[in-house]
Amino acid sequence: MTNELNPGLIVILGALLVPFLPGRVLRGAFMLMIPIAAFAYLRTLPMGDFGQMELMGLQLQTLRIDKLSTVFGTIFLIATLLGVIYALHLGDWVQHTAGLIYAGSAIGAVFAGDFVTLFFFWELTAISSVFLIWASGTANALSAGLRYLVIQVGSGVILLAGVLMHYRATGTLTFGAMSTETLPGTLILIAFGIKCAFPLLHNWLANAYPAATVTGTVILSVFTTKLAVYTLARGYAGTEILIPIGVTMALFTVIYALLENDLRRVLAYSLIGQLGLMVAGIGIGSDLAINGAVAHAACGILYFALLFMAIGAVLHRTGTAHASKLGGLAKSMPLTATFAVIGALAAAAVPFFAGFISKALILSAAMKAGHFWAWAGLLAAGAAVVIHTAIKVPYFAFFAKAQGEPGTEAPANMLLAMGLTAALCIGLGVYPEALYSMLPREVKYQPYTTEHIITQLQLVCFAALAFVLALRFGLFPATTRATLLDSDWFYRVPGRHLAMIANRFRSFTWEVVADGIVKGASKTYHALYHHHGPDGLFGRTWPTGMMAFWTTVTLGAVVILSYL
Amino acid sequence: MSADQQGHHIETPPDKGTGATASGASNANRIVYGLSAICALLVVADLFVHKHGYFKIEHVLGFYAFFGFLACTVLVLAAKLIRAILMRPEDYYDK
Repeated sequence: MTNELNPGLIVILGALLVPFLPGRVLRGAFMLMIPIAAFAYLRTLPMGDFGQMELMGLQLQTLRIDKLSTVFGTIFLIATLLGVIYALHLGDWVQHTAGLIYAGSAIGAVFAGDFVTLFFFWELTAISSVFLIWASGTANALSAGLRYLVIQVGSGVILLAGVLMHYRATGTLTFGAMSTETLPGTLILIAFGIKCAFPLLHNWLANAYPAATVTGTVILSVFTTKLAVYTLARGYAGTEILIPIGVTMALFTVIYALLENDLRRVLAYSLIGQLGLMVAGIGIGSDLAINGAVAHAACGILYFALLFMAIGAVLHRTGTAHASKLGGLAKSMPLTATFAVIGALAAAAVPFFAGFISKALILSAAMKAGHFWAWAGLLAAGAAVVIHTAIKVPYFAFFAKAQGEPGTEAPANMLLAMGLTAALCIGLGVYPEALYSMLPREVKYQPYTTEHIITQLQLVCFAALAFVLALRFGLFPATTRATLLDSDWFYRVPGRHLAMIANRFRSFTWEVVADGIVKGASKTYHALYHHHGPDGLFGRTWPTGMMAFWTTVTLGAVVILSYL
Repeated sequence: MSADQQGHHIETPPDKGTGATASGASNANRIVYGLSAICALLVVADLFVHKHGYFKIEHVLGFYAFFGFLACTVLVLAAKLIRAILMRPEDYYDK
């Protein structure tokens, strides 16, 4: 039994102790130990299915250790440790506890072998993570958090519906490869798709992540969407519809990332774009493509965490993350700027940085499978990432002409977290075998050929040239404070009006019905009173003869009716 | 290698860019020229690379260079156009 505990539960149990620890030092040390202990425990687990349980007649398998779950579990634990370090300066135990429960439930979900366990952790990620948004304490964060919670819990409800139907149809709860031919398979795909920010289902991410606290956004950027990538890789590898979905995600987010002024929102859209690459990889479904999607999830976690950390440090020190109010911070925050540039180079997939070794797998897989348009779309999106993430984010924060006050260098714990993450971004780029050896499928791949390096450098440098020229000739869209309409418009404007109309209709209907009931009741009463009251027909005293007459009539009618 | 150079080029503006506009402009010009030189070198390097690509178009000289430039230009201009449609005041949803 001791080696049948889900590693996610260790993190969650640890998180529950955090509020009771006195002093920031003791609490900090304990929080650092949590992911380390869970990782050490994970290393002792052999491959296989464990934690068999029976719950109300349902056969559960609460722990599944295989290559796919282990690689996600490992990267999640590393990210948890980095996130804890980044947040060490915080005194707020609510955020610490919520963040760790959130991380633990994502890890728990990855190691879940059956749908019921998955559903439990799936909903727990939603409920725990919303506190990271609400902790900002602004009115905007409150409403963004509420919308986030509704959509996230909604994803869980759809998952549950799909799982129940799947169980009734097949009699099994094991989470394995699913089919989109059946209704439950489709429902479960939609539930995963919401968390994975599929087009039109994506807006919770772009709204909620920039509204969260400085440290909360870093944690949020890691888990929810990558958990969804894991579930897609497990359940829907080779589902062709995922290819156009992924390419759409990669391309439409480019526009938003180029236009957005809030740099955390730029990163949020950019993150959806990179999810698109993973989703397309899962749709292609070859061994190389699945490995690519998993590798890109791992690298994406690292470099997006690094970029969110750097912009978070800027927000922490200057009070804003808006491009139009920043600039020139490289002088006052040189280390943060350096780490941001490393994150940017990884995001741009420059050779010898993390993004390169994972993106190359997916593009090669698309090419080998002959998906020309998917390949071209992903390549174009990859070139655009250079502009909207790798150049725009560090440029407007650190190198452009200063629009606001200079900051001071980030706190030591933030610098340490960024330094470690940056080291991993370079480490994986230089030594990809460390990640490749953990990937679920057996494929040999060599990212560092002259051809790959030269062609990728061409893509990156010419994209950079396009940016420089666009900026020089005033063609680059200006970054100003504004709201960009996105799919949330549908529920925030017409949806809201519809809800208000529905509410008016409801109150109107209610009035009519209530009125009708009251009026009807009073009419009935009056009618009864009229006939049965002291002066009514049935209230009067009748002669006995009359009674005998009516009795005879009634009896006669009964006799006649019974013979008919 | 040119990855680092690219990073440096982006880092250079603030050092001089905060000074007189003339030096800022010349600095910006230097970036354009420097980057163009790197790009030209990369296209030349294309001549010496043996390509294994599965699609014919990949074998065109400087395909990745041309494609990267074109894709970015088209997407930036598209964003500029779409901006007019999507842009609303900052307090749009608060009203």
